[in-house]
Amino acid sequence: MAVTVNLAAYLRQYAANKENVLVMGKTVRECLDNLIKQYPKLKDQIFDKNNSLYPYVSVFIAGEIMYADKLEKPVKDGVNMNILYIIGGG
Amino acid sequence: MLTPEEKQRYDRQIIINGFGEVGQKKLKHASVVIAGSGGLGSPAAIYLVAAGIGKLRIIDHDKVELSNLNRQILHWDKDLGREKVESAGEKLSRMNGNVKIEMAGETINESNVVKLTDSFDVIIDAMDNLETRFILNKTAIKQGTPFVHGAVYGLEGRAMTIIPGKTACLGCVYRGLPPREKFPVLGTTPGIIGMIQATEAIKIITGIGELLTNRLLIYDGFKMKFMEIEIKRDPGCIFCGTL
Repeated sequence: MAVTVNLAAYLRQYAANKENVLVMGKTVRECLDNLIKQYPKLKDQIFDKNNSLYPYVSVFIAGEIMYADKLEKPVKDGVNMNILYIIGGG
Repeated sequence: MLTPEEKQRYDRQIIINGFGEVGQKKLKHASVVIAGSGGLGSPAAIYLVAAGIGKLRIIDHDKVELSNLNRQILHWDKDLGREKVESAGEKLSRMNGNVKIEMAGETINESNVVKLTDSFDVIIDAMDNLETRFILNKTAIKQGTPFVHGAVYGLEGRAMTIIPGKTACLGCVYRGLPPREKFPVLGTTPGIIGMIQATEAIKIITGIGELLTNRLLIYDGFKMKFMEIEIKRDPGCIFCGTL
């Protein structure tokens, strides 16, 4: 499946300033793994040392949040995946 | 009732389609509490006061520091070292004498947050830290008070409106806190987001337009564009999942 990953500004610095990245994968996890394969610097921003999604990183597909326990969920071809790193400045 | 002076002062917004004198009266009798008088809180407060909100409370425990002045436009050179609530209160009360301004120089925590916010129609999240944002979100959900979130980092800003029990809340978007760090910010970023927050508060009160609910608005100053992410209510949300 081909999935477009949208990166908010904070994470782009770890992905050669790309706003959108086309990735391949059958599940959310596979898509994220493929994203990291293309931009390895993202790994430390998204996953902890146990390869679990950080709680302050949110992955959304069609409005639904994909927490760590939903990463094996299948993805549909052509969907958009949004990855948000929490920000809190004011 | 609006006085002749108020009708003249707010004429340009009263003539907005759907706003009218009815909307202005709603504003006049409404109250908003802004948590923070910094980068987000300054523009939010200025525009709510200019629009003729009835009562505005600002909560802030900080003193004005030099590094605040690139974005916290209610505070000026002469205010360095001064309590932010005093500094903000002085300017806001001079802007519009019709508005009742209340200043609370307190640190928001679990034990005082209800006392500080429960009598207000809208809560605006203009904090500079995530811990307090989650306390405010939890309290707003519990009280049933509409809550307008805003946050910034560099040239990126985000905003979302939360109607407790009806729309996605902050806990439906984020679950945990990252390591603490000094955040970068260009002053225009909270300027834009703070004004969006004020707009949302006015829309909540007057009932005009469509609210920024179930979607996170992301402002990207680097590319100068806005995008939206659909956010559905999360049944497993620790704050609103059981409502």
